Amino acid sequence: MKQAHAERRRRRDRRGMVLIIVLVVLAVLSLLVSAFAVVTRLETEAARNHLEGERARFLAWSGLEAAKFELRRMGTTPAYPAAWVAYHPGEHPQPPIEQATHPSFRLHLDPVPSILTASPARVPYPSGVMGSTHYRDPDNPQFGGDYYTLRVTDANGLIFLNDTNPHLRRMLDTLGAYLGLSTSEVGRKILAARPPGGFRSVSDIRTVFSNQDDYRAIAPFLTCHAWMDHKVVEMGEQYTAPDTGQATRSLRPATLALQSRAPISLNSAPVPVLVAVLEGIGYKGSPGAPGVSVSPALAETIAKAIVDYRLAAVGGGGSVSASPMTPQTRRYGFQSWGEFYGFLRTIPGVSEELAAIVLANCNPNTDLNKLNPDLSYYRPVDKTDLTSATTELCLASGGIFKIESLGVVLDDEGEVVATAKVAAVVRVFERYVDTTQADFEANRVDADARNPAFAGLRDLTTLPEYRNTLDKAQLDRLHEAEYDGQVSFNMITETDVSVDGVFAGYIRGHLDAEDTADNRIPMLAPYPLVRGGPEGNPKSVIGGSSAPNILSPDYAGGSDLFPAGVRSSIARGLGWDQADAIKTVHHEVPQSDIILTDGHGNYQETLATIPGWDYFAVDAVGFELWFKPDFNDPGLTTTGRQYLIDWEGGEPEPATTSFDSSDLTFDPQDFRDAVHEVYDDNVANYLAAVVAGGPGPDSPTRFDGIEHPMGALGIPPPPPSSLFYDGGPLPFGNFPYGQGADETTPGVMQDAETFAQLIEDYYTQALADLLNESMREVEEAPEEDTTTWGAKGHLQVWLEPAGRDGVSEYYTLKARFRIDAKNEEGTFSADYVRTWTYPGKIRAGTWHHLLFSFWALPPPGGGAPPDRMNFAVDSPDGGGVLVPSSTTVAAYPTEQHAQARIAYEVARSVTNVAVEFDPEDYRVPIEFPLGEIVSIGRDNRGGRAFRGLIDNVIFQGNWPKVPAPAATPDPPDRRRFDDYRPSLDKVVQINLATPSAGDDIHLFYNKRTPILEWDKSITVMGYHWTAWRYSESSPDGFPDIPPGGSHPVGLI
Amino acid sequence: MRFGWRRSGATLPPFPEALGVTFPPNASSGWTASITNDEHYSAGSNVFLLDGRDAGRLGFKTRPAPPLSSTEQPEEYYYSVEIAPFNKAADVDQLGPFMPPVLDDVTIYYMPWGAARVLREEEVIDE
Repeated sequence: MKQAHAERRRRRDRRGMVLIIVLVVLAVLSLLVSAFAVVTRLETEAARNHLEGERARFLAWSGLEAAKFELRRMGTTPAYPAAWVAYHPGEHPQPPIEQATHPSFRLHLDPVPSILTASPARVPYPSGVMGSTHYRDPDNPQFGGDYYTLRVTDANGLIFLNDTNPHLRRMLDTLGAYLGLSTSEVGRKILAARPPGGFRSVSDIRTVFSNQDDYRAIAPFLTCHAWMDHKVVEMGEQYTAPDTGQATRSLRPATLALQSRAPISLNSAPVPVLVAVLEGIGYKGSPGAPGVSVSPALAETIAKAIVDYRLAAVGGGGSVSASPMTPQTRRYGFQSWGEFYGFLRTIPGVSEELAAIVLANCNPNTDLNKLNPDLSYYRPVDKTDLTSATTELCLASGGIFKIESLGVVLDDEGEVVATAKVAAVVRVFERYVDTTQADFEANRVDADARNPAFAGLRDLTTLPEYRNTLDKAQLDRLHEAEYDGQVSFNMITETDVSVDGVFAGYIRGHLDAEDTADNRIPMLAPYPLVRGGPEGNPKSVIGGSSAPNILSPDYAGGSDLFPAGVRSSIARGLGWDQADAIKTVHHEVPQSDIILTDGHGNYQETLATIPGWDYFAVDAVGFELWFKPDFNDPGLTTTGRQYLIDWEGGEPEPATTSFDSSDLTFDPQDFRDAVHEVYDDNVANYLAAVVAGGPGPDSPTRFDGIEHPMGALGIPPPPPSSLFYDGGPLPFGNFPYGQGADETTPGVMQDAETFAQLIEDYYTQALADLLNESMREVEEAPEEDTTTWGAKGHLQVWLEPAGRDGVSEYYTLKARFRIDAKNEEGTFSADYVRTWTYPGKIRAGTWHHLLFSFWALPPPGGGAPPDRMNFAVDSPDGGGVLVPSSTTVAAYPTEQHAQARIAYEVARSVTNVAVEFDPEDYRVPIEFPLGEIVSIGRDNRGGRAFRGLIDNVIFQGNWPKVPAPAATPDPPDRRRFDDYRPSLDKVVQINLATPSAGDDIHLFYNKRTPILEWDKSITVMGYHWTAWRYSESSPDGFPDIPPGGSHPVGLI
Repeated sequence: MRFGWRRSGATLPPFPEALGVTFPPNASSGWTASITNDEHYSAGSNVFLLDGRDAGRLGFKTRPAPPLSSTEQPEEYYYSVEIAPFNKAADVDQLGPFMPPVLDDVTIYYMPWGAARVLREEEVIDE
């Protein structure tokens, strides 16, 4: 029993073990199953995550391709909505792409899914939907959960890290400060870290920042790729004048250095970038320390206003859409610089001055007032005036874009399950710019002048200096400017400089009057030339084309202060402002130095010395010059006269006649008769006295009572011995006078007839000796005698403010010639004054070509001088006019020739009768030699300077120009921008309103563009231009001409 | 503004002297039509778009410089800016001088490739 019980018991125990084992096995198996389940689940999840990540990556790449496509499409699609391209247009700050609610190319969804409108954003807003793996929106099935979000940035809307712009450091500093970075001196540190080849990626600057938040804050505003403008003139604080140590109001050796820069796009840059561009721009003060500048607060105000302006409904009512469904966008941002300038004027706190400063800095066109021929693009402040600069702006993209694409995958619940981001920099299109004179001249195919005599002339010319010449060789010597340039009307007339005294012809290349035979103007003026040679000999104040250096002028070449095509990096005398510029150039005679002074008349430097300066006197002169009056500046004294020329002649001198003493001859018989008439009785009395034992040598008073014939002239009576003794026996016996040295030897008394003859001979000889002596005195001291004529022949030509039409100020041109007589007290007073007023208006801000002829002398034979004051101002307001004197004056002062007058007085006093000598034959108008100084651009006393520019000063003596009679009804000196067409060799009728009424022939600027000739087909998208035109009816006066559209006046 | 083309050896057509003068797209030389309204403006690129010489406004397609075939010659290209004389009637309110228009710069936009060129491309892992 016990065994059986034990056996049962053992069996029962074994059954428990099995259970345990089973349980253990089951537990292990369960564990394994669980482990496998976990592993399987994890692997499944990882696989799914990988799948979603890959999906997101591909979505991101898809977005990149879509952006590239859209950017190209943008370039060729009319009315493409720019705001659709922009990322969060008009917003600042902009959120990161993961939180984007208005990405680039924002997908149009209607209705907008609720998960996209949550605030804060749960998921980024899509730019494109590629599918729906998990999520499909219940509100709008078009929105699937597989999509991409784009952020497209114009590279030229960012700051280019690899720019060589010397102002880059300050711009980066400004950007860092505006963003509130904790890192100081951001600009210095970034540039210090820049490798020689430049940064390859913005992430290269990550190491500059110890605080990575700073990096993340600044990186979106930087780029390592941008379109470069290679023709930007560096301006701003490039002052280097250690010699004077004066930081202000002194000459600035502006070098007009060209520099490659990446301009900032006005229409795409975000606020921080715009602030970096705008802040600190200034002028006045000293270089680097401007007196007037854009403050940080104002920079932010302007920047935000710019961003707002992009979305404003501008440009003829076109609305701005951020949706491709409403692509009616006609405008986005600024189309032209004129629009930008007008915009600036509307911002509170931005004065006209500040607006001009910003435009000067930001407009990539140099547009120097010094080179501006007209009001067309006059700048209140130009680049040479800036004392602090940053970089230029541009109106359009350079074709390079940064693209960020975020691929997004949503799960079934609309939660983000995967994202991936890719970035790229792409070049979508290219841009080519013609902006310098060299650009515009290259490959021109314009029609040349049809008339072979005018070969070289074209209907349109290029600036800064007109390129007109008939001399191909000379044209080759003129270099096109490489720093700036424009295309505009040519300034020509149909008539060459004429031999008949007509003033203006077409302006040849040697406007600056090359001293060549070709350029000498034959002097066949209707008025007789009494001085000078057969030719005029114009000379330019400053020349230089083969050596375009103002400090080393080349008079053989045809150029001037701002020579045509001075290559860059040539030091030139540009001033800080126009008050210090060319206005103070004057030359001195006889040294003929051309001296540049500052605005206060202080000597700055001698520019040139002109040898052989041989123009003539102040009273017979022709000269021409170009001048451009500046606008009145309330801060400067420009309310009074502004002198173009102030010329004081020297002391008067004998005129063109001369006294020949041989004219002072006396007929011997006439004289003898005169002597006899006067003295016959006295001779008889004299003889009687002698015979009666009259006066002896020691007692001449014995002749008392006998009229001494020449006593009044100081001629002593003849010694008796020479009269009475002939060496023979005395006819009258013993004579009380001896002969010989002691006059004790008795001599022979002459007979009465001989005696009378001897007396006559004696007095004749004595008189002749007296006349000769007098003539020697006259000849030796002519100047002393001429001081009685008066002095200081004085010619002045000046401008006076005359009012304002619209936005344009104008001046009146006046001239005066005055002769001051010297009175008994030795002081001068006006004795002869004539004034002239030019009838036309002289506009500020525009070049005028003044030709001036003056001839004060009366014609031979006396009489008042004719009105020979001839103005020819090459302006739209009039041509050459013979301006009558506005002053009624006495006859022009004349004077007998000094020697003739003295000689006549002597002769007349001697003989007391009229002699055959008419002193009126020697009456001449007074004339003046060169004075001590001729001032150009100021008066001779150093004040009242002309404010503006003077150029191409040419003097020519003996230039009494008058319009030829035949030309009177139709003066050949035509208006500026006249209607002569060299390409047609005729004058055309201008009548756009009714073309059939005339030769409505437009002018064309044509050039070949090899840049478009590729070895494969390319697409020329379009164009943009910057053009200007002055208009009185415009609020600002200087509207630009936008491209596109039809302009009744302007460019088409 | 217009763009012109000329096959090598062909005579450059006379510069158009009036608006609206057009040339057949297959002409050996000619000028594009002048843009006369803002519809040709692309705000996105701030460019005034150029008509193609073929139908459509997809820009002006050039032809390769090397001849495509023995019968097709390469072309030369030009641009022309037309500057009108002063219209005194239109400027009757002009108090001041008739200042000429001044062309300051000309920018031409073109696409020399069939697709955008990638200058740099990267996947952003961590920023």
